[in-house]
Amino acid sequence: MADKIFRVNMTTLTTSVEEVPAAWAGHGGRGLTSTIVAEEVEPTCHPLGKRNKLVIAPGLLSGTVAANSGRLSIGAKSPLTGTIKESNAGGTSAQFLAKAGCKAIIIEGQPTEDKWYSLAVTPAGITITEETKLVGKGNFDVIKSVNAKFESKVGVLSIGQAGEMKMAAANISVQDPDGGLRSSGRGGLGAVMGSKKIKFISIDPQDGTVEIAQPEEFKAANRAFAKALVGHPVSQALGAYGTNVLVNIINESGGLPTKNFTQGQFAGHESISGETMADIITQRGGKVKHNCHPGCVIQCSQVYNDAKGNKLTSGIEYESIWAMGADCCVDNLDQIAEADQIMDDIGIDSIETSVAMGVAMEAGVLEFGDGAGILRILREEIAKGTGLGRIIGNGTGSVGRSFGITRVPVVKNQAIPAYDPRSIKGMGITYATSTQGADHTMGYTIATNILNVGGQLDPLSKEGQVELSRNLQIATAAIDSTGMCLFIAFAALDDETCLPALIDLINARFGIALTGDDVVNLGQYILKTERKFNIAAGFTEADDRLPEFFYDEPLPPHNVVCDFTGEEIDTFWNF
Amino acid sequence: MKEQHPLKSVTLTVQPDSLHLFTTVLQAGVEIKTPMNTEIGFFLCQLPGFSPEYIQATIETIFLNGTPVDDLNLHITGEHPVLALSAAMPGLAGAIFRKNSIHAALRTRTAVQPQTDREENTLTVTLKLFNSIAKERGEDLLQTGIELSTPKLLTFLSKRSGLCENITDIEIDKNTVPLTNLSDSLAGCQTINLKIITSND
Repeated sequence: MADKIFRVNMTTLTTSVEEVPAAWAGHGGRGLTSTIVAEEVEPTCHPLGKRNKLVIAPGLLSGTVAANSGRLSIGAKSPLTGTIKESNAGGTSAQFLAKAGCKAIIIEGQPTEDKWYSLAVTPAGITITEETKLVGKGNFDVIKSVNAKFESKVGVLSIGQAGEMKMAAANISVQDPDGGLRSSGRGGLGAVMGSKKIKFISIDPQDGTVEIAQPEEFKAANRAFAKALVGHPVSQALGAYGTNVLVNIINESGGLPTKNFTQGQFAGHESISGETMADIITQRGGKVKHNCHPGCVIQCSQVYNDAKGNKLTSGIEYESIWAMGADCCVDNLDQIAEADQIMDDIGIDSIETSVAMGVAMEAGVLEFGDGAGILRILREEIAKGTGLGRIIGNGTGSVGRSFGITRVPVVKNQAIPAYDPRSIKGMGITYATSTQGADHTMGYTIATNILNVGGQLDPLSKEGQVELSRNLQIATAAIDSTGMCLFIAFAALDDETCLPALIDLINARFGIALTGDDVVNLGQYILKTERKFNIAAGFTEADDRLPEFFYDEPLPPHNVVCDFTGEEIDTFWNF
Repeated sequence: MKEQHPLKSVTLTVQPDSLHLFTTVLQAGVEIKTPMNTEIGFFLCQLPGFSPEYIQATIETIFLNGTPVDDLNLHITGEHPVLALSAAMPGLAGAIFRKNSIHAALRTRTAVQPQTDREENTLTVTLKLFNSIAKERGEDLLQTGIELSTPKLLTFLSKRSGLCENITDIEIDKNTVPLTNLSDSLAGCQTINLKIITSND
């Protein structure tokens, strides 16, 4: 089935199926969402207005049997940061969209009437239907109701109450294989979907399949690729403990932001560690290993049950546990898991919202460590859209501005995640220079040696450190275009067969002959395209900065501060 | 020199298939005495099951006093040194902290704790075992016996009440003690010698 662009105009309530422009043909995932947003969205537009567009794109390998290729990219101008944004998640939708022959969905315009709608995607295109029954409902009700309408498995994208209220921390939820949720969490893309008055999107691929240009070569490459992933020790650690395995390590390094970034270690870290969580999950009959999309061979997700053995939440990540745990000083995993479940249902980013809670705690809205208070605010304030709920639901910066707090951990108004840049300076460079606000996944641990992007400068010099961070972000942008989970990076780092096998997969899928240099060029193109959009939107080098307190307040226990000057950070864009 | 009182010996006997669940107590850290100026590699090789090959290939992340370590020949220093061991970890931060990582350049440089002058010729090292290292080597360590802060054991057991169902017997200095009396029986003991064995042992 040939890929098409599925376009939806919510002003005229019309849809069309279009040929893929030649300039977009080589793109997928983040590369495609950023290309389309940069080409079709006015950079200065209001993110929640009719001129913004929501772009949804599977990766280049989505819909194939390639291991770990189920990530879905969603892009727009972000209402949280004002920058271009791409947020990706697992779940089943990327694979179903690709099988439906959809290279990207572009949603533009805004309804003129105050009505809500749903979209139904099939290989024939998209139909728009007015929606009344599920408006005001949480994501889990939406997922359950939509699935009941279909005999076969479908993909579902949905927003909860936070998206309906256009909160800047609202996410877009993606159904996973077990009816749980994954989140395109960062940047408030749920608010953009809400501004288009779309409650949910169903994706029924029917009997659609993805064509493989060179099937035998594809199979061989996938075997080598999957073997490299499965055998790697980091893959095994992720399967045994999930990403939450990082709590103890980051705490030990003194880089676990605690009590709204005033400390680098959390006294209650053992209570929320991945090791503890794995034991609890096992004892309560949950699942330590769980896949967020079919074909994942790492299975870093998990199913966390409550004390009675009933499912409480799934896919709870280190960054969410850190934010609600150490940053808010809550050492109770059950409360953290319950908060995660509520945030999934409301449809709000668990990093942004939890860091916002930490700032609210500093403001005296509630006490540090008050897990019950957090649950109440999520249920009674954010879900119901009270004044306080909207302040917190609009993110960390919103809370800081509303309460006059100066210790506000954001870059480009997006909350800094779980690695304090004073103790882990490489993270700080990434946070400052990312085109999308503070984001730990923007500069991942990529096989710099294989891609020859390790850098030419002394890695211990500041210039060398900026160069390494730049090259990691270039390589990450390219990986984000494939539909691959970033967790392939660990095997790609250590196993010299892994990354070549990934390139072989792309080549066999399309019958082309990409090289490692092409991958690097793609990553550079994506970063430059995103940067160009941001500059046109009014961003300058002054926005590529960490908050002042990282320079002024030494972080215990190592008592370190950030030491990169603005001029040094600005060398990032010298390519 | 301070007078040394013998530590109380606590032995927990647990169901055979549950011993691995108790290895998580090792994330809190156990106390191990070692001669001054011991190298990290030598120190680790004294532990049960820690062969040079295992240390080299599997222990990918090491912290000494919160600072990542690349060189196993480094001497253990600090007034109360803390050594933490982990397998390879995910994420950019995980890569930054790995031994001899190409991403090590992105670490923040932290001050190394110097060795202070002291009368004793031994150091007490707090050794923390995380993730798969605890699972793979922890059972041997628990069965051999560890020195552990009493509050760490009591906190561990109180927060994992489900685990206690697997305890079939508790002895303190060879006297059987019911679980409900464990805390009272250890009152005043800052540190204990702990063994966790199975009913098959």
